[in-house]
Amino acid sequence: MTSPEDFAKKLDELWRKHLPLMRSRIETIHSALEAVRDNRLTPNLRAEAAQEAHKLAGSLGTFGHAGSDAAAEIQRLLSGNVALGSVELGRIQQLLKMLSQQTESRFPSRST
Amino acid sequence: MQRHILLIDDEDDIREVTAVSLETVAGWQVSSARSGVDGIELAKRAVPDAILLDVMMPEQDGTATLRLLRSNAVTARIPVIFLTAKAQSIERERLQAIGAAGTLAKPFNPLTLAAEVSAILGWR
Repeated sequence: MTSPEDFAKKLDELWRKHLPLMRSRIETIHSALEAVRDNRLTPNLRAEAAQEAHKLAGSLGTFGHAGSDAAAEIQRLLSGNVALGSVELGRIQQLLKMLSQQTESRFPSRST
Repeated sequence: MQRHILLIDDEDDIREVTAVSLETVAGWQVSSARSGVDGIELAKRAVPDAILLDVMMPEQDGTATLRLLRSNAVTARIPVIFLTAKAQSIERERLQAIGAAGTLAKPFNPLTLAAEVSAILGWR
């Protein structure tokens, strides 16, 4: 067994290793939002974005990252057939901006 | 006593965090597979003390994987704990009805995961 510091260091290394995947998932959600604005969102793209948000919530949560809840809310808003009006789009945009900023910040602990 | 855990999950990051968690926090040996098919083969060869099995996986999902594990004499008695994002009680009951030892909600806390696994399996 290792010390809490070693464990935190290993988690930090894994976070850095998988950060490109997190960014890619955020980018997919961005693409879906742009498609909504351009009136070209397909059911497939919406489902893909919801799935990426789901995976993001799971990954971030497992890392103890504060952005997990935001990703889960984005997933809820993108899932199903609920119409994406200006209120929903505004909320997703707000959550996504927050998520992007948090993801690019230093590795945030569960307590933050 | 060092335990041997087999982890089956298609997500690389979650698989790696889980392995680091169980290895460093509990000192357990962890083997991992990214699909149900690979996991069953590994379980037959290694016969781990327990299996952590993701429910939602492409192609062969967790419940199909559990049924195949239960139908093989070598792996039939290995306790299986499901990892699921759908942690509602009805889902837990469904998974336990098909032979799971328990369920753990995703995302989980890597600092307490080993203790939760031990509690489900009655390990000291």
